[in-house]
Amino acid sequence: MIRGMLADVLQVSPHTIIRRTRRLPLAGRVLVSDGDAVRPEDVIAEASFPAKVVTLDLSRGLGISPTETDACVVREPGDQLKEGDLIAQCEGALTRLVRSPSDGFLVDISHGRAILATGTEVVRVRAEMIGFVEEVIPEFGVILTSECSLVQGVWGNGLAGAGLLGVVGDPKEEPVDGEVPETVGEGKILALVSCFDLSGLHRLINLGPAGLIFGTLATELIPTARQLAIPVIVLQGFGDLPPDPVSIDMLASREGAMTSLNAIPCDLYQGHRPEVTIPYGEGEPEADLGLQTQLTVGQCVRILSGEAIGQTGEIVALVGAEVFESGLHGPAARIKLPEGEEVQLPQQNLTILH
Amino acid sequence: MDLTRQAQTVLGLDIGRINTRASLFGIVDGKYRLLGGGIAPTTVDGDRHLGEGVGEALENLQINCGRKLLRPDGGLIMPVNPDGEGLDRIALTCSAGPPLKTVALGLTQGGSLAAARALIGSLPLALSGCIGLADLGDETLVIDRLLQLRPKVVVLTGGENAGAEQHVRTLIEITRTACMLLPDEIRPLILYAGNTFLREAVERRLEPWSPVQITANLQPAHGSFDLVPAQSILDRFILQIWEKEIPGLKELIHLAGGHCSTRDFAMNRMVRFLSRTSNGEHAVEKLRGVLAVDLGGGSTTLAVGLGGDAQTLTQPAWDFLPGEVQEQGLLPVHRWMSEQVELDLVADYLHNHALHPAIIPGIAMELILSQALSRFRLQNAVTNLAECYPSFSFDPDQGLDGDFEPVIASGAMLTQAPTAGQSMLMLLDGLQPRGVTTMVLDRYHILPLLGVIGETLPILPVQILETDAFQNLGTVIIPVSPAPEGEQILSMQVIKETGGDFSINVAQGTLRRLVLQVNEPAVLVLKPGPETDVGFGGPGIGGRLKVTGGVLGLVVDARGRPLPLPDEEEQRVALMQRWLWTLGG
Repeated sequence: MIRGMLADVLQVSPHTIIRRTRRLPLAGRVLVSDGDAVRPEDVIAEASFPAKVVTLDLSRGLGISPTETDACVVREPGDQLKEGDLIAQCEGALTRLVRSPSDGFLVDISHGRAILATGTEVVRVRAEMIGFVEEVIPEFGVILTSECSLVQGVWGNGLAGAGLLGVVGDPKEEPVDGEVPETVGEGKILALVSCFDLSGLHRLINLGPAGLIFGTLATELIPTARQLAIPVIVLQGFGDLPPDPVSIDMLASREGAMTSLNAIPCDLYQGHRPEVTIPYGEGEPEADLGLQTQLTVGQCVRILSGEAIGQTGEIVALVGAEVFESGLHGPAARIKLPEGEEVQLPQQNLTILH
Repeated sequence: MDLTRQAQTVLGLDIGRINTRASLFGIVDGKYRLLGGGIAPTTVDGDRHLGEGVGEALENLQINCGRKLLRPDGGLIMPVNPDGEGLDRIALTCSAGPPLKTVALGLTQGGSLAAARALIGSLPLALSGCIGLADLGDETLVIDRLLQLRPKVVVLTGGENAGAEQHVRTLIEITRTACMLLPDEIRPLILYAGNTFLREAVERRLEPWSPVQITANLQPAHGSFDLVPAQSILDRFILQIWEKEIPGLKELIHLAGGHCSTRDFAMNRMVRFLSRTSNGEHAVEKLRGVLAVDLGGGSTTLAVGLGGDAQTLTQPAWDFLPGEVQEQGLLPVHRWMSEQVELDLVADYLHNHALHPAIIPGIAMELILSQALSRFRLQNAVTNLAECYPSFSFDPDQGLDGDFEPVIASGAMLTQAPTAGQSMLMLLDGLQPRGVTTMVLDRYHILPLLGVIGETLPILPVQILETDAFQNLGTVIIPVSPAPEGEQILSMQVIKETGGDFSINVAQGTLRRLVLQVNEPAVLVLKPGPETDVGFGGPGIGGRLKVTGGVLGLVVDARGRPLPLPDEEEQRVALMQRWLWTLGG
């Protein structure tokens, strides 16, 4: 039997349990506890360190040379100072003083200079999903969990948000080009089969949604989508691709439900994909296949290239080395399309939908 | 591991962003040979172990070379057992990890910061800030910027050895303050590669706060770069970071007994080695360089060796696609299409390909798009290398300035193209060399591995380079002349050892393929016209040249520099198809 290659997995699951780690890069404070419910915008953990530096020229302030300054310093690095606190003092006929110009943290004193950090740099980690705290990682973060419907995408603009899900258009029909019924209200997460023009995108944005999900997006709209202040996820890819009934049907079946978008860009190193999660708990949850798994006969796959690009189908056979129309050769898979037609493609050009 | 013992069988593992390749080298008839290779997708994601992809590549290798390497439990048979199963040593190259965020601190943009940029560009490092003399007016702003950037590496350089110290001391103090403020976990590695007279100050001021490595000045004197010592340190550091971030890499490095490197530095090392041997054998008056290029799925690496030095650039494969798809941004790709295709389709294909870098062209149009992209990536890489290194010259309108022999190419789009002619044309169009060169395909992607193995087993790369593991596409003669199209610019005689000599006249604007069997030796007698430069020292200067036939025999590329690509799409496509047809389709 021919073994399938490892392929990327995009989860499109009506019911699964996901676990996501949210972790600070440095030790800080975890702001939630085991079992807490979280929303995407909630800050889970934060850390801070001194920043916004001010340099004080002590030797000039005291009117002495840098080498003489050390003896006049009355505070030590690490001290917290209040505005007006004395830092250095030079006794003499005319006593000269250097005081802290503002509240801050005394970082260092050397070469006749004091360095004061007057503010802080804060690093925050947000939940970026609706879920519960399953485990606290002391000082660093948490593991969140959610029993949900899950749809993973291929592109995100880096933001996260939540709202009630509104599905626009019929996935069985031709792609909807930004036409939005007026019934769609503010604060919703809107899912559309596609968006191909800027005016359509602007019409959507003017409705005040909390987030946007597109099956496909025109490439020229990427810069606009990237700059929007709401999360945007693309599920299939860019350009004129056929609608993906698997993903859109799943979303349509959850219309009206509270939905969270984590439009984080794909990062396989960290195990991140942009994803839509909708809390849901009926029935037996499906297993998580991870980000990659072996291709096998019977899997539902999305086709990433060729004449059938964007279509979904089922693997009916894995084939050894084949020569493709391009003249390149490699392991192939035979895919049965929904209409019954079969196509043969490089195994590398498939994503598993699970 | 006993390095004094001659290894009989060496396993090379190359872990790329997309694919993991396993190559087995062993002794056949007293010489090292490539025994076989295996490939599998790299398993680098949140919860997978690199070893899974390596295991699959090894299983494929076992099948391909008919030799048992794995025990039933999946472990490696080491050393080789009496039945001849297993292997003695492992060498590893890796390019699977993410580039490390790096900040350069130096003095002048054209001096020390240029050297720092070249250093950072030669390794999987991402330059996120470049701070120089002009920024020192407000030191507090610089410190705050460092705190916001939170780099993993700071390259601190500047000042010629024994030169002025004041500004470099300021940089040291700035770095010190930033490190004092940053919490332990996120303090960067400080690589000091500046004025050597300040080493003691660097140790005293910085070591208490952050890990510090001190090495040779990147720019010991104005205009000269000395990057290798710093590259070597950073190479090790990058692997240390990747070990922590990529599950399984640590175990593989341990198995390799330290014979490991980032792919970029290994390629740099091999190109340095080749550029020494290349000139040693030929003893030409003008230094000949060696050029190696790898069009990987995740990055493009270009290494140019000259007289034992190397200039390397590595850049993400898709960094030209930030999503801002404007027509202008796509034209440099679109102009290389050998079919008429609308820009929108090019944009869609490239953006979807960037989402799934592992895909391969399945249909003819995708192949044309991918080969156009390859030409663009090659040209982009040589252009950017020229920006990093003043001594390397490339002008998209004039081509590559300098003698490079050979040009060694790897990356699936080049090595697995359906025909040798397609590989040759991508290289000629993308690099636009001049003079005489030989195009060689590193079909098994082993050049960087040879750089690692050669450190302790120098005979192995020497012997492997003589084998057909490297496919000679053919010697290319590229006469450059200002003559108008159609005018004769070169006469050429091909003298074969087996007889059947022939002569040809070469006209400006033509591309020709001359018959010479694979490995058949011949002598070329080149008689250029008075204004024609064939790389023998200037216009009108010709000479004799020993060559051996490649897969394409000999190729004469007299199309001119710059390549005369018509603006009108229909004409351009027709011309590209004619060139392709000339080299076998």
